[in-house]
Formats: sequence, structure tokens, C-alpha cells
Amino acid sequence: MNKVFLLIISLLTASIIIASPADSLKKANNAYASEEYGKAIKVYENILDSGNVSAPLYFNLGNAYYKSNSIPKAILNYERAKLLAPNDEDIQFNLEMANQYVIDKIDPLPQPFFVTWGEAILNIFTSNQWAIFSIAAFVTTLILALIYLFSTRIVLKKLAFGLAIFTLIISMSTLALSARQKAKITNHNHAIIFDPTVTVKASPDQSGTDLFVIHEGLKVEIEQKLNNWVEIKLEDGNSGWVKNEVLEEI
Amino acid sequence: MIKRILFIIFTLATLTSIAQDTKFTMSAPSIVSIGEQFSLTLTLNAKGKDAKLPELGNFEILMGPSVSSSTSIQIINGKTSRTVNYSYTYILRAKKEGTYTISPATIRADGDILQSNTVTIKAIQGKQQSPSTGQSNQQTQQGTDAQTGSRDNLFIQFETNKRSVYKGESLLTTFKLYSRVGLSLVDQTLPSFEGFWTQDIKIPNADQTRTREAVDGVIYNVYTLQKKILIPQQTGTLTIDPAEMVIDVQKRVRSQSVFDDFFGSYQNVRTKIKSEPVSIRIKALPAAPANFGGAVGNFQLNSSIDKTEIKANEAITIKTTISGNGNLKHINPIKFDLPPDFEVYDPQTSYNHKVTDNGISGSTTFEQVIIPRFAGDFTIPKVNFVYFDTQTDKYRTLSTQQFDIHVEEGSEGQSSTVMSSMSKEDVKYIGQDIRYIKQNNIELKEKGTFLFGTVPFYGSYAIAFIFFITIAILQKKKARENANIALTRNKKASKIARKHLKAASSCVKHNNKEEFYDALQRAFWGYLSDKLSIPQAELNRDNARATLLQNNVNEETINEFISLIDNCEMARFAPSMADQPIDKEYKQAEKLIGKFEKQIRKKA
Repeated sequence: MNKVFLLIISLLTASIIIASPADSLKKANNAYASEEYGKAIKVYENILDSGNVSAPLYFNLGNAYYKSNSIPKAILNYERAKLLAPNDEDIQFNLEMANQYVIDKIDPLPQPFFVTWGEAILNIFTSNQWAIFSIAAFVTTLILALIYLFSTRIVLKKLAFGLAIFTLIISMSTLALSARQKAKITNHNHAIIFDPTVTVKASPDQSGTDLFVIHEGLKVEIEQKLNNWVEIKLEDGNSGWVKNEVLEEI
Repeated sequence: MIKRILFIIFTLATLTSIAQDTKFTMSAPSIVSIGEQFSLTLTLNAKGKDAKLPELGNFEILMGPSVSSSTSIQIINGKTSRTVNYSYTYILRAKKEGTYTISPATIRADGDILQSNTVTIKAIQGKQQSPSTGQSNQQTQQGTDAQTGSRDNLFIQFETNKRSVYKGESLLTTFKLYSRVGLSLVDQTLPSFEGFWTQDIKIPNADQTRTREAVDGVIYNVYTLQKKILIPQQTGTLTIDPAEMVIDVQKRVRSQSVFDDFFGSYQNVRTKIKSEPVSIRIKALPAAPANFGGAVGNFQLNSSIDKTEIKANEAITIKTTISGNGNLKHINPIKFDLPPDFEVYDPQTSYNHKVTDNGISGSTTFEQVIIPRFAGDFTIPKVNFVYFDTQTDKYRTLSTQQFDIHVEEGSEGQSSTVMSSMSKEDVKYIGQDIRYIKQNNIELKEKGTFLFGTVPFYGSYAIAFIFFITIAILQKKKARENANIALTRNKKASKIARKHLKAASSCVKHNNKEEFYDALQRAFWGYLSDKLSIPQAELNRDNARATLLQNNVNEETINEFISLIDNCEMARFAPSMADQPIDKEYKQAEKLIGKFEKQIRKKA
């Protein structure tokens, strides 16, 4: 009897734990709707702290920060949302809105067309979607191989062979894309500047030569880290060292 | 308009005719001190005689009348006008304190007896050093006093009619010069009236405003130099800064010789005088109602509209007039609550003000032009105008009328141009904001959950591959088995065929035709089935022929086979027709099997 109770209680608590992020999400959205942005931020952050993520969650949190005029944090969360949902139009739009507040105007280096195309293709799907694609393509390859092996008709054999080669290539390339997408999220090789004004140094040292000054909200690429210094690279190709507390990794 | 001009001309004409009438006036200072000599003047603008003063009672006539006359001739546009003035001057002296009214004097002129006006004179107990006593030592003393700017002889001051007013309430200030000596003005510095909005009242020049006033029993000549209406613009205590004047005072110089003394010699002494600062307390208005716009005073409101029935795109004028007394210049235009698609122009404000001692009175008119763009019935609701009434110290509300406007469809051309210009208007992007948060379908995932690189991910590849391998192996095995069966059957085919043939040959011995053909047929079909890997049930003449052709069997051999089968069938179903000897048939069959064996094997 006691065991049954215990089981019921544990199930109940489990259900509460499972239900609570969704509930608090609703609560946060309501807080946002009634323009209590501070409260909404707190609840959204709590959900994130409990280990749950999703693109809309980051997006909503970014909105709440935007509304309470914390532009760097808004940008950070929009960027995080964008990593999870690279093709979401709303995220892109709000990110651009927030980026209008960034003081620094950086002209990105022109990239070869295949890089931009590659990036565009990469961003069509998330890592998981690419992974599923890869598996599906692999399975198709195997089926085609079977057809090739056991078909008695020569035309079918030829067709199956060609398609099998094609799907195998697709499987391999989507596997690579999935890996890239995952790496983008897990590697944290981009960051947002959080300090209002940051002087970028030529070396990881306080006495290093001042190279240029950047401002809060700017997105930078992380090249390498040394102690508590980070080498950053701007979109226009300039790079230099800043302390790691002035930025937050995406 | 013409009527009005005519009216003005006529009134002017009558005025001039009145001016030509004889007029008899009496004038005297309003205030005198006892013992002071003063003059009483009777003036007549015609020739007269027998001027008679009434009984003066408390005044004694010291001298008079001394008659003087003046004539002036004016020629304007060839028209000559002549004015004559006769004046009779009496020198009087008051005997007793008090206020006395001198009854009209009479004179005879043009055969009529004219009566003058009455004059009221106040006699006071003057101080001893009256300037008019004419004693030389006193004059001297006076001069020195004047030199030092003594208040006794000369001072200036601001007078205000109120000392405590509300913000926005008007008050009158008068700047006066009190003097008992001859003087001429050199320079003056007047205050700026900081904190007030000021409006001058026109006054005639200083000589014309001269009056006499007694201050502390001393009679001064008083000149009004400036009159202003002040409207305070802030609360608290405001001070009117002192005014400064530099004045040349005539001072009698002690004579050196008898002649000098006789003629009297004067010298100008420059002196500086300063007024006292005047402070005025400005009270803040009590807590105001919502739509109070700062109007203070006493007002009437009148509103009108020129048309209430019009066509679209025609103009209407709403006229609002606020009249009364108060800070009319500081009234904000009345804002009507107009329908949104009316075209509204800024109201025009016109002022019609008169500045008097009582403040600013007159009217302020707002004219607002509105143009309805669409047909329909519209209502312009009442609008309240709140002002602070200084008489009752309370806020009062006046309301405009409510206007009902009926707008008819305008002429086609006009409305269509308006419409087209409106329809072509681009969408106006009023503001920019971020897109709203996402509400639905939020799937929360645990952080860092990726399919890539996980066991299930690679596992699914592996499982797929294992499936593949298994299927492939199974299929291969089955194929091999199939192939084995075919091979053995192929190998055994001729053996079986020969067995069947042997059975057939035993029939030959027994001359059992029917059984012979049956066995022969079975031998061939069985052989082909095994050899060509075609199930016996599916085998017929056509596909047997096709398959044999594929296996490079001679056309000739196939025809031979077909005819043999034909023979067999014919012999089985129609034995009488088959009269060929069966042993020959048997030999042919043996040969045919041998041919098949050779040709099919060649191919393999």
C-alpha cells in the first residue's frame, strides 16, 4: 500500500516538474502582454536555467529585453534563437531592429558566393533536421543497393546504382551539415559585446596598444582564448584582444 | 460702410457747429490752502460783457477782474474761421477751511445771459512755507531744498489701485510727479515692470494733466507722466523698481544788485530724484478646473457659425467672441471637438481692445475655418470656456453653442479629385517596433540535445546497415539455392528423359501405342522444364519455343521438337491417324534429346 502511495506521489511530482516550464512560459507570456517586462524576463530566465531551450523562448526573452531597453541582451537572445531556428523570419526581423541600436557600423568583408550560398543552404535546417535527412538518405541508399544487387532487369539495375551513389553523397553531405550546425551552437565561437565601450588591444595585456573602440551590442567572432583574454574578430576582418568579461558568448 | 462714413461726417459737422456756439466756463484749482492766492478764470469764446461772479462767501477777491482777450484766425482751404477768447481772471484767497462750491457765474453775450459751470474748491490749512506766499527768504530756502532733492518740494511716485491681485488680474499704476517748483525734465529712467505684462494708457502731455493735490497739508502741482495697466504673469511678491529722474529745478539766486533783485534772477539746479519701490502681492489662483486656460476677468462668450447646411468641400467659419474686461490678450483659442475628416485650419485671432483705467476691455474674436470633406450630419459639441471671475473670486464656465451641420454631397468633380488623391496615398508607416512574442507551439527541449553524434544517431546507421547486410545475405543464399536446384535438375534432365524414354521403349516392345506417346510426351516436357528452369505447368509450345530460341537452339531442331509433340498429341487423342511405326518414332525422339543436350550445353 505504501509503495503505491509513493509511486503516485512520485508520479504527481514528476508531472508537476514536467508541466511547470510550460506553465511558467504561459505566465511569462502573460507578464509580457501586460507590459511587466521585468517579471517576464525573470520567468523566462528561470525556464532557461532549468535546462530547457527553444527558439521561441529565446525570441520572447529577447523581446522582453528589447522592451526594457537592454539591447545587448536582446541581441544575444535573438542570436541564440536564430541558432536554433535559422530560418525564422520574426527572429531575423527583430534582430535587425535591435541591431539598429548598435553604435558601431561594421561593413562585413565581401565573401565568395559559394560561402554565402553554403551558409544559406546550411541554415535551411537545424542540426537535427540535417541528421534525420542524412539517415533517411542512407537508408534510401541501402534500399537502392538492394535493388541493384537483386534486380534481374538491367535498366533497373543501372538506375538503382546511379541513385544509390547520389543518395550516398547526399547522406554524407547532410551529415556534414548536421555536424556544422551542431558545432555552431556548441562551439560558442561568436559573442556579443556587453560593456558600453570596449577598447580592443593588440595583445592580451592591459598595456597593449589600443587598436579600436567598439560598443555594446556588437557581434564578434571568437578566435582564441588566453587566460581571461579573448581574441575577437569583427565582421570587417579586424581583430584584437579584449577581456572576457566584456562579452557574452552566444 | 458708406452709411457709416456719412454718419461720421454729419457728426463732425454738428460738432463744429457746436464749437462755434458760445461757451462760458469757470475754472479754478481744486485745492487751495488758506491764505494762498489763487486765480479763478472765466472764459468765453465770444465777446461778452457784465461778467458777474456769484457771492463767494469764504473767498475774498484780492484783485480782478483783469480781462484779456485773444483772437485767432484760421484759413483752411480759403475758408476763414475766427475764434475769439475772452478771459476774466480774479485773484482770490480762501479765508476758512472747508469745501466750497462756487455757483455759476453769469455773463451777457450776443444778447443772452450765459451761465457757467460750478466749481468746487477745497480749502485746507496749509503749511506756512507755502510757495505762493512770495516771501523771498522762503523762496531761497525752497531752492536749496530743491537742490538737495527734498521730498518737500519735489518727488515722484508710483500709485497702484490695488496692492494685492490674482495672477492675471489687471491693475492700474500711475506714475506721478509732485512738484512745488518750476522745473524742466532732463532725463528719466523708468522701471521695466518685470513679471508683468504691461499696456500703456494714452495720456495727454504733462502740462495738460496738471492738477493740484494736497499731501500732508502741502499743495503740490501734480503731473501724471505715465499710466499703465499691469497684468502679473507670475505669483509671489513683485516689486516695481524705482524710477529715476534728472530734473533741472529753477532756483532763485540771491541778487547782487537792486536791479537783479527787481527782475529776479533764476538759475537751474540739476537734481536727481528717485521713487519708492512699490511691492505688489500676486496671489495664485485657486485650484483650477481642467479646461481653465488662464483667462482672468469678467467675460461673456458668444459663438456663431455662418452656415449649417452646406455642400462637401465648402468652407464653414465658426466665430467665437469673448468680450468683457480682463486679460483678453491671453485667452487661448477655443478648441472645438471637430469630426476627424474635417479639414481644420488654425483659428485666426483678432483683438478689439480698449485700455482704460479699469483695465483692458473689449473683445477677442476667434475665427476658425473648417471644410467638411464628406457628406453627412455632423455635430460639433459644446465647448466650455472657463475663466476666473475677479469679482466673486470663483471660476465660471461659459459654453459655446452646439452646432449641427448638415453636409450634402459636393459637386462630383471636386469630390473625385479629393478621393483620387486620397486613394493614391501610400500606406504610412507611423512607427517601427519589434514583432510580438511567440505564443503558440513552443516546444521546450533540454539544452544540448542534438541528434548528431549520439548513440541513436550512429545506431540508426548501423541498424540500417545491418538490415541491409541481412537482407542481402538471405537473398544471396536463396538465389544460390535456387541456382543449385536448377543445376541438378539440368544435370539430371537427360537422365530422367532417358528414363522416360526407356519406359517408352518397353511400350514399344509391348506395342502399347497410347502409353508410349504419353511417356514420350512426359519425357520431353519434363526434360525442357528441368533444362530451362521453367515449371512444367507454365510450359507450353510457345514459351518453350521462345526459351529454346534464347538458348541458341536451332530453328530446325525446335521445329522437329514441335512436330514430335504434335505427333504425340495427335496419336494420343486420335490413335487411328497415327500410323507411324512407334520404334521409328522412338529413335527420332532419342536423337532429338541428344541434339537438345548438345545445343543447350553449348550455350552454357
